[in-house]
Amino acid sequence: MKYRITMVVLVVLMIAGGAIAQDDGMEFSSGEAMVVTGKVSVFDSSDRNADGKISFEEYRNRMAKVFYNLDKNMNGSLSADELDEIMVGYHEQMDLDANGHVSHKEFAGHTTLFFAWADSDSDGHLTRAEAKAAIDKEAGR
Amino acid sequence: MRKAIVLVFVLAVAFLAVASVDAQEVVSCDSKGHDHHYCHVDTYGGVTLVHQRSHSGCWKGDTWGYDSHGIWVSNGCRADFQLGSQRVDWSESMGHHYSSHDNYGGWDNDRDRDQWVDQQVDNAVGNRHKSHHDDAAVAVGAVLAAGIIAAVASDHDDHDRHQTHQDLVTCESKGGDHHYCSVGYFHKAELKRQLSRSQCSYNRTWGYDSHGIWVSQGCRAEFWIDR
Repeated sequence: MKYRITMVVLVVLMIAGGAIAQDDGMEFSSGEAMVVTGKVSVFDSSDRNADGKISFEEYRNRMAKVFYNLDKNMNGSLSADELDEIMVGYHEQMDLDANGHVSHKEFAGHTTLFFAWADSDSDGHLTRAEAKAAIDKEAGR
Repeated sequence: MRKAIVLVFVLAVAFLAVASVDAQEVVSCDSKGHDHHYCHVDTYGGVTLVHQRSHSGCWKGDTWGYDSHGIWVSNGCRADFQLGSQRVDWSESMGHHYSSHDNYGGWDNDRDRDQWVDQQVDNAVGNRHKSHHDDAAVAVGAVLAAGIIAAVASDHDDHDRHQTHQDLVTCESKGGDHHYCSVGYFHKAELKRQLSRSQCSYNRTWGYDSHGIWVSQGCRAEFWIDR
């Protein structure tokens, strides 16, 4: 049930796009630089060139940051206790050599497969519609 | 005698063809800090990024690329590159002519793309799924959840882990002017999101020193800065 709820949140995050961007915590520093501490949506924050879709390169770079953010002890792999209660259920599936740790290569290989799977028209980009469809498909499993 | 010569010639060609296929190899090239680093390798057959090892971004034509003598990386990009995996396209590899419609993944067609995905699977799981695409596809569903949930978690973690270290800065070159945005002392900057139609390219239309970010030629963008 919690998984389903999370998926709904995900869909909202991915589809709502800039609509959920927050401007709280905004401040100005010297020059014309603007320092913003608010958050933007996952989709938009991954869309580096702001073309409304996520290229594989944008996705790969996003996932590289995801991995390093999850890797709390910075040992280059993810143990089960570094994942939250939802993600920990997938640890075994990602840990293909069953050594108790998800290496960066295992993580990258899996997330690459996801991209190829979700990119339904195989054009090398994920649109909001493709992301939504993929999430809906997974949520319905 | 003539048949023998022809046979030797055919075998020689076949051998060279096989050798060419086998010549694909993976090399590592790392930029430490924000240094520019050049790795001298044979890039005749093309170069494909197969595994990004850095938290810092690896962007083709921006923080990595190649020329006829080797691969360059910059601004903290660390990655493994496969040699001899695609046709050579120097202008694309240098990234000076790409647009938002170009293929950032470096795939020239579906076949290249499929080969690249296979390579990723091999890298991640050895031969376990190599001949069982269906098995891999089944695993993908779980990966979808894990990957995207991780992305969401990461949004929180970005702020939990880096709250006192990382800021988002907007810096804009208006009218093509060179503009400097002073933001106080920091260690490293990375382009997060381009706001302009004009290309923002590291060390060409944007860059930084220890106290600020510069932009030029119409580059407008948001940048992460690590303090």
